[in-house]
Amino acid sequence: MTAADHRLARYAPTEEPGYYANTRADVVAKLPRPLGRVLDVGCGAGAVGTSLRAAGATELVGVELFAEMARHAEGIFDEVHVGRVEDVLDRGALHGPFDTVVAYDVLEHLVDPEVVLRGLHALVAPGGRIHVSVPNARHWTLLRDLAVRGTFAYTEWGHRDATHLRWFTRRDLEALLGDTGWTVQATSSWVPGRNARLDRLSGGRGREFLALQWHVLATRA
Amino acid sequence: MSAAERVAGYETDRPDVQAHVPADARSVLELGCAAGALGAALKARQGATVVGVELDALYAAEAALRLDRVVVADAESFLGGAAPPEAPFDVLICADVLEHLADPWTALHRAVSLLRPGGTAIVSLPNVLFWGALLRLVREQRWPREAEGIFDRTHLRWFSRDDAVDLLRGAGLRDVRVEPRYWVEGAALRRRQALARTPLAPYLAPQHLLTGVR
Repeated sequence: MTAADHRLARYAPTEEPGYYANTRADVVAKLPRPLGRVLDVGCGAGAVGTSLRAAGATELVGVELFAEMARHAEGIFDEVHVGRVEDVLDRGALHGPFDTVVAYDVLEHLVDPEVVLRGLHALVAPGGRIHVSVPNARHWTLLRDLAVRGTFAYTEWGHRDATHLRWFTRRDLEALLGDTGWTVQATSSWVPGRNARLDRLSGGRGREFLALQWHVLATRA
Repeated sequence: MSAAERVAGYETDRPDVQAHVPADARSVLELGCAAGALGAALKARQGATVVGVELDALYAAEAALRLDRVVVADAESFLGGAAPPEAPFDVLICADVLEHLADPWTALHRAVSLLRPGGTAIVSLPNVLFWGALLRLVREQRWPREAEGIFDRTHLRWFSRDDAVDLLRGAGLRDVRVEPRYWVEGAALRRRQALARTPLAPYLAPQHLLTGVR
């Protein structure tokens, strides 16, 4: 396998099954209730759908790139659309209005997240909301790799996953949502492992560099 | 892209790239040829056959008047298709184009396969370690992404000097050389060149120009 083949293989969905099996119950817990009619962009095998259902979603619609994942999700969702979210939006397959849209770990994989966020905005009821998560472009490991190791250091999966095309700091993500018509309501972070302790010790001052992910909740005015 | 959105950086004939094109090269493949200024200069200089690939139809139409053939396509689909009849080429030019692709590693590997053995590849890429970009990330808390220029908002991939060298070697090129492009002149350039002998070297240049041999 050449280096190039190897990198292409990373686009297959089998590299890190846990990535598609996490129910993200802690993230779903941050969503205002009632959830109402929910759209999950990048629904994977439906793990997050399980949490959304448990949290009271009245109807669940999913979009998933990989057909095999989507087939699993069909057992949990009312409706699953297979394809790139750009194409699913383009072909008018999604029928709004939705009360809640979630897009967890999706925007960083898109060539043009602005277009997708505008498309989703049009599908949300006035007062409806979107909740997104992305990896933090200011995470200390990326700054370390750039400044000390001298490399961008793409990896098989995780923060520097080679399929991540777009990089966002907290400010970038908030600006992106604002620019696409959304009103940002709350930003939170995910600081896993021993960094959570460092975060507490620093009184949150280190969070910009310790957060592995940013989560932003925004509404349609 | 409308005519009003044309980017000055894409309109130059890139003397820095021309300097690395061997004087005896007879055929050139240029990915991302824009309006064809560089290809036209090579045709005028040494009468080479120049085939260009350009995503933007307006640029491609203009390039078609200056080059031997222009394919309107994104580089990745062009390289995924059948080899062009003009292959193998003496020179491959990818000037500020690979960072716009989702998978530049596969794209460059395929492009190099269209070079004759001994042919030259010339690649230029923005440097993600450029101090201005790092400063923006640390101080302004924003990822380096501008309306245009070396940190154009449509970039999808990020390379340091070492990452860029790996990209070329991984594509099957040998004798890979790097020329930092400082984009300053005179005393400022001499200062950068002096600093380049210190450990600050990786952070000084906004752009790297690389060459390799198939």
